[in-house]
Amino acid sequence: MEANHIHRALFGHDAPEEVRRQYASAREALPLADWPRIDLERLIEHGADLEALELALRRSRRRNALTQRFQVLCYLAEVRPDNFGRFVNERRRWPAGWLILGLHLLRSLYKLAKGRRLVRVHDIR
Amino acid sequence: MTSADIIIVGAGPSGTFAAYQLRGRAPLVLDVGYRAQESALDGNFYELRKARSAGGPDLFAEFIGPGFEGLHDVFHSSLSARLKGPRMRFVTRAAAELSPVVAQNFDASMSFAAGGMANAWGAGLYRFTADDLAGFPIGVLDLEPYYDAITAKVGISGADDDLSRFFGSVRGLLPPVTLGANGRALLRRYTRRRKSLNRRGLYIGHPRLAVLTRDHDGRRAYRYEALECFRPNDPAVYTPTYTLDELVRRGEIRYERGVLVERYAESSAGISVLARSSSTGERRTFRCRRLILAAGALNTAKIVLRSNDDHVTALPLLDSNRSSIPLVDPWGIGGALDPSVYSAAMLRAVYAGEHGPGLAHMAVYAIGVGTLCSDYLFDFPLSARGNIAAAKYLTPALLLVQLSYPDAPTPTNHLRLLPDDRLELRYASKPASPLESHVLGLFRELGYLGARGLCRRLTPGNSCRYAGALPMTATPVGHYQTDRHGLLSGTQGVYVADAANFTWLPSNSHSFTMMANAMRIADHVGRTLG
Repeated sequence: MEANHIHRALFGHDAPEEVRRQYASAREALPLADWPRIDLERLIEHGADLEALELALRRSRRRNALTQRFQVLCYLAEVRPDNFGRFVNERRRWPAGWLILGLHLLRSLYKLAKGRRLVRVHDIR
Repeated sequence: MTSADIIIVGAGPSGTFAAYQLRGRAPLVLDVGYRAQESALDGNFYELRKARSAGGPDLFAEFIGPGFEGLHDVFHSSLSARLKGPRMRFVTRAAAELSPVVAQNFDASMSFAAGGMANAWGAGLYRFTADDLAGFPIGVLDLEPYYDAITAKVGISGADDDLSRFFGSVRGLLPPVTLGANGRALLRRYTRRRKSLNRRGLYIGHPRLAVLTRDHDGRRAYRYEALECFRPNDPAVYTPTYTLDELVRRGEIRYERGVLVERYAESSAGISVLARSSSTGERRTFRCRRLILAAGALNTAKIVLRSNDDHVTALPLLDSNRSSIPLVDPWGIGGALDPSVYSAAMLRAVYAGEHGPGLAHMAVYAIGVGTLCSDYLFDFPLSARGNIAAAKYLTPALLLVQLSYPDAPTPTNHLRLLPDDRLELRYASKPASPLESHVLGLFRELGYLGARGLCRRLTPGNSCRYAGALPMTATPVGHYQTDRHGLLSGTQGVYVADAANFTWLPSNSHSFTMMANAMRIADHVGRTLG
């Protein structure tokens, strides 16, 4: 469930079966940072915006348990051929590149505000 | 007990080239000698990643690894991209167990692999100039024949350009490595503004790399596959293992693998070298007339301190401190990533103006080439999804200037052998340098934008360039200095042939000089035996 929700926050759809399996093994093998102590399952049940929450937490502390979960999933997704085009730009897209970055900047400002509110609402410390 | 006239400890760049100089005299090389596992990667980093055909290499195994080695930086302090790939982990394998350290403000990396740290180097080989050798009891002419011999053996690519005055002779160079799109753009802009930039102290040119641009000495030319972070032993990118294996194959040296040398003892009968098996721990003793220590600056110092049963003396610890300065080319945003490039230093720059500590050498990298975006994705300030888009469209526009600072002995930076046999490394943080702002200003003139707040001084030790514990001096004193031939003071036949004998560390990369100096010392050792 966790892998699916993070994958959805990153790419807009559920994680493939193989990624879910690899993510579960990675979570078992690697120790997450001890901050913040969050009940991710509960947050997911409440429909919390994980992308917004991750950004807000990363702005307060670079190494945190939620960002680490996102990073692990990002690595696992990036090495899959079906995600190649999401990470590597093969054709020159000069105006589109600027436009997309501009839109993401605005979107990230909104997500940051939303994430900070979530931190307060769920009393994440 | 195994005997030899000459024993060499270590088979990194120094040990291998000491052995190369003594080939034919059958020196015995003692080494732990971990080796790389075969990689299934064959092709270009980017082409392999987008190929969907069945039967291709398992990219998870090659890039992430069954033990999640590729995720190292998510959970631990940052490791060089060239050391953390699953197939590259042999380079630092078991270092913490074989040579434990207690470090204060120092990220020490040590290698017990055959070929040493050079298995993961950027392959930059730069001659020292007279300025770089100031304070050494040797000069450029002492090293010149050995630089030339290594150039002929290894095959070094480079160009006779604005940097030749800082890198010495261009004799025997192969054509330079082909630049990627952003390397070409930077060089074009520099050429247009050369006069003004030179007046302000900035010079830019091609790197000198042990990367073959044409077939050489039985090895093929580089194929621009950008796999250096994941696939060890590309024959076109030199590592000392190639020469080591060749010497062994030809029977010109004897090589004992799996041996960890701990100490030596000298008597009128010769030198006893005490070691243990790195796998079983079984004790072994070797005997020789001359001992050449080339186990890497930290381990060589440890062997010497242990041989003297000295848990008190603090020896100098030098490290090539670095700053990383990220830059963005606004015109490169949205550009296409150039897939066929060499993933290490793309260009080289030298600052020779009044704001630097003498000459300041810089390696210029294209960020993200030959590595996964996930390595740096979360350093961007956007949301995770925004960062993925940023990695895609911003990466082709990003450059990283890595500025190296010189280092000289100071009482605050030292190493010491603790009674429990761990090596204590202490290094005081250096203040931020005004040079970073100046470099930002110079690159701004070239159209690259950066911010002082994004510059990062790397943790000491991160460079993997350590030196200076047993410095060469014209008149050595005590037990921890060496003469100009590398002979350790107070001994009759123990020589230091790695960077432990450097007097100071200039900003210039020291690998080439380490190798040439090891050959020079080995040449002398050979002559002492007639």
